[in-house]
Amino acid sequence: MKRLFKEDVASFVRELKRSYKVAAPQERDGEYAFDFVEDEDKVVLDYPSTILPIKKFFFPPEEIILEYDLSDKEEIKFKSEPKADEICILGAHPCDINALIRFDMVYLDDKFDPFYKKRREHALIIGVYCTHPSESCFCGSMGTDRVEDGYDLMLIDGGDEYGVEIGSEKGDRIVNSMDIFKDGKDIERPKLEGFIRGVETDDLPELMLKKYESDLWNDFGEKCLGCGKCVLVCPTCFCYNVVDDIGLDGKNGERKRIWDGCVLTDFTLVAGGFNFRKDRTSRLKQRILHKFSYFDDKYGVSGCTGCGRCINVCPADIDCTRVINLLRSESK
Amino acid sequence: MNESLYLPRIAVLKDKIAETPDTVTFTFGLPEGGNLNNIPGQCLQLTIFGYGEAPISITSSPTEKDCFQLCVRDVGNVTKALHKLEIGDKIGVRGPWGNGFPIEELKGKNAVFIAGGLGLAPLRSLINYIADNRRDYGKVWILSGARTPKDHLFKWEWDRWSKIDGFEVLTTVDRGDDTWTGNVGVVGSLLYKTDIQVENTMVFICGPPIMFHFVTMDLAKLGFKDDMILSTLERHMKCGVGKCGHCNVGSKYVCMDGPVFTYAEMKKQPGAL
Ligand SMILES: Cc1cc2nc3c(=O)[nH]c(=O)nc-3n(C[C@H](O)[C@H](O)[C@H](O)COP(=O)(O)OP(=O)(O)OC[C@H]3O[C@@H](n4cnc5c(N)ncnc54)[C@H](O)[C@@H]3O)c2cc1C
Ligand code: SF4
Ligand code: SF4
Ligand code: SF4
Ligand code: FES
Repeated sequence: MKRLFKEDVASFVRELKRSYKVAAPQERDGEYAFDFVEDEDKVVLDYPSTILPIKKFFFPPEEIILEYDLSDKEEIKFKSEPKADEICILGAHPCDINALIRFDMVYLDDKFDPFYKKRREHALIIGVYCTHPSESCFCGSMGTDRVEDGYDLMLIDGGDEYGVEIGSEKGDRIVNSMDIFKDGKDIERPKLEGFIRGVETDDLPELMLKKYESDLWNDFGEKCLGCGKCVLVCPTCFCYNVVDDIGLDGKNGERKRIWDGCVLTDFTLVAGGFNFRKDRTSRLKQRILHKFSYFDDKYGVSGCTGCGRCINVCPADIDCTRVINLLRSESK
Repeated sequence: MNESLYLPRIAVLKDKIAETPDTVTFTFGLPEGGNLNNIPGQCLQLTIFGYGEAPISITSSPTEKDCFQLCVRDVGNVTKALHKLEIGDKIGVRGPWGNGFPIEELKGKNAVFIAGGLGLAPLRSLINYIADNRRDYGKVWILSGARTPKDHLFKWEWDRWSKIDGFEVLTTVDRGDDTWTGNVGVVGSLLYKTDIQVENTMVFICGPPIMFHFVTMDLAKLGFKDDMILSTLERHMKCGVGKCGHCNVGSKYVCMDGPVFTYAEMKKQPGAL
């Protein structure tokens, strides 16, 4: 197995920056966040969890998906052209790589999203195995503390060095073209222990459907503020809204998509004022059921990676693991 | 094809037919000729440049070779802008999308159409498809209800439809006026006014949720099975391609798996009804 000494990480990042815009976890006000790297020494690969997931690098909070030019009435011109920089995501945890795999299921199907696809094709993913779960993590229950694909390289903490797992040809080329990688002994993937939170996933999608009418939902629904933070921080939430903007001269227009979320009041509002999910409980139910039941039914894996971010961020202390565990104990 | 799925194609307004005070049937042509190759019951995303996009059912049958039609009620931003267009103006369309009605499965069977208000628009694509492929299909009953006589759509089609062999057209209004000599009452009551065969018959319902609720009760009474009753689901939609998440109902996406579902399928998806 190739290895990378920890003292060489900064030089490695410097080397990567010659070909890629490198995004990696860095400290920000006592927490960690993925940002493009200015100072290589600020990169932190041993971190608990980042406040935001890496989805913004592939699916920005706001982007133009169509531009149109109306200056010639005879010939309206459009453009819907994705652009992408070569980027490298360095230091993604297994849960976040698993989230990307789920995003791919939705955005790279036979009707693929060209903007997302282009960015995915121009991204190098170098992950690192997480060594200690944070308080809100439950990836151990979701099986997302492991990854078998979805990365180019994976780093395994071995004390003073990282063992390097190769996940793709691109990754192989990097490891074999840089002297910074040395030969070394095999290092085992860490086994995560000490989870505070957990859920039992056996038949979970079916159980959730069976408990659709449970009164328990109201206890949580009534607390939900509909702030949308849970959706914002979720690595697998992919929903968006679309708005058209036109220049003051009426000649140039653009169509933008903006992150949206099913916990927000207007998500299912249609003309005439009818709202298919008009109360908070039905909206919270949608979020939790989509993650733990509907997504699974459609794609065969849970839509939740157990990253714990939604639990961490919720101002109303709504914790999906608690909802699930209560529903399960109700049905026993 | 590697073209962006967010890129619309251009269509040109050729004709407008006023249906009701706020609803118009628009006929469009494609600059390259032909139609949208739509399956009856499919929809498209309509762009009015500078205003936005809205999901609209295609009301014409693909047997209409050189144009396509949309029947649209003026309710807001995009639909209002559409109503202001003049002949020769351009719109953008993406699609058609959705599963459409099961035209193969329906072969050799009878069809009952039950429409409430604007619901006749999507049903009309299948009605005209059957009319143009008459030998492949059995009997057809068209039951259409509206609030008042002036709210009825496609009155100009009634005469033509009722003259087709094996077609029967029945209409009703919630409230009549001086001009109206026909039925008064909810659309479901029309089911009892004629001899509708239950065996080998599929039912297609489009209309407001409340109408759907009562009509399905009538149909159950008459002996129709849930998997022979079909309808379309209407949801807020932003993309039409299974990405934006707005049309999600249970594990289905209305834009990809629908808009047509059997009553049996709807019952299985939480929040569908
Ligand atoms: C599958 C399907 C088929 C439809 N077929 C027809 C048809 O044949 N004829 C017709 O007149 N209308 C049809 N509608 C309804 C039509 O889409 C709405 O009336 C239209 O989107 C309103 O847009 P607006 O900008 O004019 O209204 P606004 O109220 O200004 O729109 C506000 C926003 O809500 C969205 N929105 C509002 N109502 C709906 C809705 N019902 N569905 C989805 N998004 C909505 C709009 O996209 C817009 O972003 C259909 C809707 C669906 C889902
Ligand atoms: S973060 Fe909490 S309060 Fe805010 S919308 Fe999500 S569940 Fe509701
Ligand atoms: S639902 Fe919560 S725990 Fe699950 S992936 Fe999303 S943010 Fe993470
Ligand atoms: S939980 Fe809600 S916002 Fe997130 S992906 Fe599912 S439907 Fe969209
Ligand atoms: S309309 Fe966007 S997912 Fe169906």
